[in-house]
Amino acid sequence: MIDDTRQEEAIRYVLGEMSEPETAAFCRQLEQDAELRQFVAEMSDSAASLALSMPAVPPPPSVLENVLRDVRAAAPAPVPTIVHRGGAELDKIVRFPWLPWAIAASFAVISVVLGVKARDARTQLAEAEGEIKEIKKQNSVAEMRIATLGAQVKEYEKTVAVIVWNPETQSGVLKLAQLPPLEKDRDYQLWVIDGGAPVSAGVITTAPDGAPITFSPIQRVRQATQFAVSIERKGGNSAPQGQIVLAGK
Amino acid sequence: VRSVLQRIPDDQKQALELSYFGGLTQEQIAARLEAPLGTIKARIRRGLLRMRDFLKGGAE
Repeated sequence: MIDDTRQEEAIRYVLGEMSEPETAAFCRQLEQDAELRQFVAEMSDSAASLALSMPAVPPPPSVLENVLRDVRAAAPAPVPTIVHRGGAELDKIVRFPWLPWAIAASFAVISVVLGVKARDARTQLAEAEGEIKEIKKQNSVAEMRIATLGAQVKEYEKTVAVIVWNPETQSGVLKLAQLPPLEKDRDYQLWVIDGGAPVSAGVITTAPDGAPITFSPIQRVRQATQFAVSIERKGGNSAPQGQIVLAGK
Repeated sequence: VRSVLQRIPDDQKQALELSYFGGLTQEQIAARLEAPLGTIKARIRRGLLRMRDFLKGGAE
């Protein structure tokens, strides 16, 4: 049984937070402790699976062709080694040197097939989140807040709403899909919750399944703790009075 | 995996996302969220353990 402290140490190793001396010391422990090795492997898999939580971005059809061309052109692969983030050589694949290529090719085929089929509202969300991923790559994620709004009433369970909020510019982008239409005398209104106080970010007037909607609250938001969409009278209200249909942090 | 992430408590999910996607250390996350370092470590650990349980087929 690995205690909590050792688990946290292993997780620091998995997340690459250890210094070089710490890593070296931990690798020595790994060599001697099979249970710890097993735990580290499991945590690595768990962390890696987070990447799968990101929506797939449909690759261009040329990807499959390029991968297969590279596979055909590749010389017999040298015996690969698996080197962990900390630098410890954990294992060697010696029996199936073709296996990584086969897996890569399989993933490419699956990606292309799924990419062609995915043409619904979820794809729009995937595109928006793909843009988010790009932003993260530019190291600006630390400044951004990303929130997925969940349905507060049953009729909105199919609605997809994602917000990217930039506290520095006091503006954000809202991406919506499958938002039910309203009666003519009603409007959807977006709220940024500053601490506990709702601040209006305006009435949502753009076509719900259209391009991402940019918004700015009517007053400065110190700390956006939550976002919400409510149904208000035509033109909106200064404070939410209607039903909250979507909300998220 | 996405459905499992949705079932992870928000505080754990937020810490995991900041660590994995945001590239922040646990200390930086603690400072950013104004929470004790021990709390952040526990959130990340519990979140990863829950992901592991799911991958093993043990999630509810």
